[in-house]
Amino acid sequence: MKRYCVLIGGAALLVVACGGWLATCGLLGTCASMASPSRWPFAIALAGGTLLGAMTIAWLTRVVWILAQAARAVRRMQRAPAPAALPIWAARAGALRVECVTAAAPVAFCRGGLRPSILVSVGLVSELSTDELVAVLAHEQHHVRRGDPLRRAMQQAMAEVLFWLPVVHWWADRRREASELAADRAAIHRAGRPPLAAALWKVGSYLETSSAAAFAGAAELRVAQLLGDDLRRQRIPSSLWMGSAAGILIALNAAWCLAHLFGSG
Amino acid sequence: MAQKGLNRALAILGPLEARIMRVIWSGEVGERFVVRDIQQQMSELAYTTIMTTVVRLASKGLLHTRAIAQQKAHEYRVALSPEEFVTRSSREGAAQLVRRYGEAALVAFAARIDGLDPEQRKRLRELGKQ
Repeated sequence: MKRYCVLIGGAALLVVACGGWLATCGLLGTCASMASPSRWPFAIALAGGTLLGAMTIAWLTRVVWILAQAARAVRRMQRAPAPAALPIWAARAGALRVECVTAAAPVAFCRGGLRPSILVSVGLVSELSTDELVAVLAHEQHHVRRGDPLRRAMQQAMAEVLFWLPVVHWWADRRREASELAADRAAIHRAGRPPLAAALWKVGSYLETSSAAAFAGAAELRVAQLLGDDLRRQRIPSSLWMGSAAGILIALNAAWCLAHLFGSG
Repeated sequence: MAQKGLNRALAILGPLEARIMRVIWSGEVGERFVVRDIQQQMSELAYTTIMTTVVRLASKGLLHTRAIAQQKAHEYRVALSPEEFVTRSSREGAAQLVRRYGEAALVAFAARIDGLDPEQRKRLRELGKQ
């Protein structure tokens, strides 16, 4: 949140500085090199292209960075010998690549940008019953099939690069929830509702409150789906629309400023 | 069993921290102790080295610390048993993983259920028991 405020503040300052220059250059006599009106279309296209290109590069860099960070974290995790029955459970869940890692906590992950696979902890294997484990593996296998680690990295990177459009952040959160709900439906199809409910209860109970804050909304929806309740339809709050409109204005201002700079000289 | 718990707890700590906590957890110093008590057990280590490590252990929540009145020294006592420390570390490890990587490139089977309303929690629990 602090970083977000600093970024927004920085962008706003840039626009104010540029706007200030544009407003006062006539008085100071520094406007002589500004673009002539005939060159404005070219200058605007160049400025827009530059901004778009910079954001695309930033987005791709961030995607690679997120995936590399995750890969490094996974490499650090100590591998454990898989229980003899794990391939059988994995086959029941339709999971192809499952590895076991040394961790007392019951955790399961789907990782890998291009070739996703599933990691389960020793704690998860010992804590959950066979049916519950099959439910978790089926859930994660759905993420594998859809390539969700890469999708999420791309969505998160987009939300970060387009930080000035809060609506994109909202959209990324909704996509994450939708993928969790779809994975749960796949798990219900494979293992049934009770094993998934038990697994969700056990794993969820283990996580500390502060750690899993990002999953709060998804938990509510996932449990509602599990219990057969109506899923509430979520609308974009008007504050996000207003924030995004302000962000677009700032971006247009920045592009306009750049266009003047590009058009000059 | 207790030895297994102790070894698991020591494996989580750094080498020097583990040596000091082994002395403390195995009762080679009293229930309440000062840095000097540990140094008597580990005379090969400098006083300042032990003191720095003990302060770090206290900051990690392994030791309780209390200033001794009218002295510069501090008195310490154990805050967590080896088993409690292993449990806490495991939870924190999982929590950290979820916090740092669960949102993006590691798609975790994780959900915060303590934020659910009591009715939903009860129904989820009952469904899981079927």
